[in-house]
Amino acid sequence: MRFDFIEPFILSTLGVLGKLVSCEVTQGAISLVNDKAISEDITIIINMENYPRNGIIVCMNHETARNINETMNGESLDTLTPLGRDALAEFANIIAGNAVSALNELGFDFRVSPPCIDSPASIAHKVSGCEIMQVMLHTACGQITVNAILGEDGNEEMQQQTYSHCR
Amino acid sequence: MEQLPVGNQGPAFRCLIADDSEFARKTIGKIITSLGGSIIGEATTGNEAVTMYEELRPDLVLMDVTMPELDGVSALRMILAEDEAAKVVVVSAMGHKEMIWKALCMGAKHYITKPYASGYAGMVIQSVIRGNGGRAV
Repeated sequence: MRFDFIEPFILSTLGVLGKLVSCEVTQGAISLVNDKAISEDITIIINMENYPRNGIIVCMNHETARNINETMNGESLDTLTPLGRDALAEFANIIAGNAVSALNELGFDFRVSPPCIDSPASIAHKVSGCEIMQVMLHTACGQITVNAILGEDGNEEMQQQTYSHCR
Repeated sequence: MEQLPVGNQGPAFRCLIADDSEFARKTIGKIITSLGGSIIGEATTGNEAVTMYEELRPDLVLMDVTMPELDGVSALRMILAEDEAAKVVVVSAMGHKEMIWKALCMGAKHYITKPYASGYAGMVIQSVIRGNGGRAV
């Protein structure tokens, strides 16, 4: 895990999340975890086009998902409709896009892929063996977990290039 | 919830929205209609955006960056190669300076970063439609 990613990543995530859910967001624990920690009800992954083993995973339980959907769509739904799922994917896309942009301002070059809602088991399988930085965020909508897998691609040449860009 | 811009403040205009998110298209679509514009096409990939632009010749294109098959910046380049007078506003969650600069230098009329306030987006759209949407961010 690239530790110099952590601060800009978290600051950006806190800022954008506050705008999206229109409330104060407080940061909870930050920890390094493995794929077993990807276990919430709703799991959205945004891969990095140019770093295939990297990505950002946004997780929440059903109640939080319902609350976020209500905030974004302006309607309360007992079950997630396709539009509701799409709103959650866009929610994760905005968090990831802003966080990645904050990192790119430092000289990195991450390019995000479109978001994908998948089962926790499937996403955990995709990131098995990766070291994941997990940040708990507390909002009025409920708890959201943002997981970042950044900077580890097993490609020494690519990492050296990334370091040299960062200085 | 934030107020949408008050309707019919300018000339009617025809808009193409390119975004792979239905939610994002609906959200900005409400702003367009509140301004008196009409949505004449919705594209979900950069390729679709280019094809639909050639067919529909809209007054304005709202273009996401991260889309399947062909990204929004590549689609912007192709649209401007076809019609250098095309009015394209990029609307994206990716908002680092290099990306914004690249899009504006390529010929985008404006760059809106998500999440955006409806009032701000409406102001930008009106400005671009009226022809004075000059490359600010």
